[in-house]
Amino acid sequence: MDPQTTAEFSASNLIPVNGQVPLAWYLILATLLFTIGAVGVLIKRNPIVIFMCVEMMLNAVNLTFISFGRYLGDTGGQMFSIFVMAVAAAEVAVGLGILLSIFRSREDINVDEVSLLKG
Amino acid sequence: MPSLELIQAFLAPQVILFLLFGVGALATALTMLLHPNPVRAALFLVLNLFCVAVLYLLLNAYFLAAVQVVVYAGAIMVLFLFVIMLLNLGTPDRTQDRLRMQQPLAVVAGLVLAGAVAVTLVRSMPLPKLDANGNAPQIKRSRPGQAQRNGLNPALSQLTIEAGRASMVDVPGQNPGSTGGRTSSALTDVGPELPSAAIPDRDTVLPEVQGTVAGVGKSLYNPKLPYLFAFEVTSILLLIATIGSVVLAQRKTPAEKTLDTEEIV
Repeated sequence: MDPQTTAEFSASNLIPVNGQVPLAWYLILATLLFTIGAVGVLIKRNPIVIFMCVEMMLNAVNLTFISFGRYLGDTGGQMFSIFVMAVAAAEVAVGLGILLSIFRSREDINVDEVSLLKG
Repeated sequence: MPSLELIQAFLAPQVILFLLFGVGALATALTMLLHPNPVRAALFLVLNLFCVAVLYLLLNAYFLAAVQVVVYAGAIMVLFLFVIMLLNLGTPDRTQDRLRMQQPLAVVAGLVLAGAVAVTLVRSMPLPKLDANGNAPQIKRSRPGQAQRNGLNPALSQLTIEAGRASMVDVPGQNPGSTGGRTSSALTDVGPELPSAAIPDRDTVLPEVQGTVAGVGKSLYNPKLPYLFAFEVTSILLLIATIGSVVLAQRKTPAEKTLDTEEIV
């Protein structure tokens, strides 16, 4: 990292200025939420809880979009969030339908047991 | 005394609200992750969505905050709870993991992911800052090599101005009119006979209008902006998802079942 970049990485990016929350705080929060969601997807065995973790990851990305849109004065961030929400709703509807049909064919929907696609 | 200034910087109302609800979002997310009961986890996710909706409000995204509460915390989470109770999945999962190393490996992978994003964040400093009035900086103007973005900007700026004042395009009397007072100067500056030349400076763009229903609608349905086509495609996607979930969750009739077994045999 060159010295100029180090100088730019000053505390002014992380400390509230003018009574406004720094953009870095929103990004850090979104990072942590996304990470929690990703770890949840990896360690959970209940497919519904996995779905909920995916929802949280999508929500964290929405937060990033909206905060960048706010701090750049662009409406595009909010537009993208609307589309992400619509796609998330569609994904949940289809995913829960798949869960229902899996549950109908076998009484167990632990994701370790459902390995039909593996052949 | 720099420490006093620091304390004062943290006592701004927006900062306090962010800290309150940001910590709330993190705490509920962690509780959801660690809770063994799926129903409780779903309820903690609802709390998490509420906290993030408050953060949307802090970011002036009023419409999206309402959508977050109504659609996410309302409709989608009710769907989750319904399926949990329908499939009787509310009991904690006590089956043994097949891969014993998966949980610690997942935590390590999560830390690596967070570290990678943090490195990206540090390398992208300095980040844009808002001024005391909450206006975004004029980043797009000051930086060269963004000709394409600047090509998009006039329409964007114009529509924001349109959203903020008595618009010439709209039917008279159907405007929000909430910001009519402060935009009267913009009306005198910009001649109504030259709408294409009415490209205001970035500081005349009203950021608080962007997140309202009127602002979101004017961005979403503006044919000069690229969101209209995607919006229409989204409606087709939702239709497909509706049909698909109905087909997937459909109970098979006995005739279909015999057909299936014959095919398999």
